[in-house]
Amino acid sequence: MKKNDLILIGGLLIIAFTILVGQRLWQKNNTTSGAEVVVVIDGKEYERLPLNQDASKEIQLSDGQLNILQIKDGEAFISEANCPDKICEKHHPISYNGQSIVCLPHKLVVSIDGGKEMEVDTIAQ
Amino acid sequence: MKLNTKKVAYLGMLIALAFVLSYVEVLLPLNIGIPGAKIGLANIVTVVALYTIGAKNSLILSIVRVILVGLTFGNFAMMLYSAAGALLSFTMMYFGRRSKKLSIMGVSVLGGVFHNVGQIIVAIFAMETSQLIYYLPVLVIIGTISGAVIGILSGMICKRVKVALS
Repeated sequence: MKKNDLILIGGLLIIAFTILVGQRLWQKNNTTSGAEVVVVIDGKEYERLPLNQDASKEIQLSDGQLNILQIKDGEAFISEANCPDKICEKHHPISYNGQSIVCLPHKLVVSIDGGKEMEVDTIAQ
Repeated sequence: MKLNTKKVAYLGMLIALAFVLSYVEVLLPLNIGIPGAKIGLANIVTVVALYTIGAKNSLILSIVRVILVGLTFGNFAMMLYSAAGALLSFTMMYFGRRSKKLSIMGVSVLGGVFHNVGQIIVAIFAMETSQLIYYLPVLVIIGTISGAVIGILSGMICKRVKVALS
């Protein structure tokens, strides 16, 4: 092992951890009480639900793909899916602006829209 | 490098090994809810190949592995993701090795990190969502750690294989 290897490994880890911590702080500070859960399928918005209301939603498409989205205590998660890899089911519940759960085989993205960004966008438009 | 019988057999053996390791990874997925996160066991074979039979042969090995594994365990979309990961990772490892500034360990870390990065880039385009970019730091951390472990293993394997090949 050369010195450069350690610099590479250390550098990558430090940069990644710094960005990760910054990301978390930004996400936390940009989440308002009006945050919404946005479901996007294949690049198109499918549904918007308020994050502060408990709900259970079956997202079923004609080709048999199924994801069950649950919102509970201000957190959203996928409780069940019939995709092959089940990565979306294993994702921890999301609650902050910009966080997302992705189901690659179903081209489904569930993300949190914190609300604050939206206002800025409307003003800009 | 001229391909003699010994080298042909060796290349065939590496492809078989890469195939089996990919299968092991299908059986034991690193399922933490993040698409594209992989231990990258099959990367051991690519690293060993790069250091023992040259860049051209290891590129062929990578491509054959991606096609074989994609046809057997996945679908076309999965094949596309792993092809992007494998090609980007191979390119970075090739230049990493050629620069002579890194040992096998650093080269393997580059491979691990860029395999994950390549997959997420394709996923961003395929899903038409930039949300996935938020996973990049976690993927870099996973890639660095798995790359380091694989680098150590590959170093040990290379030493023994070089004796057998010469």
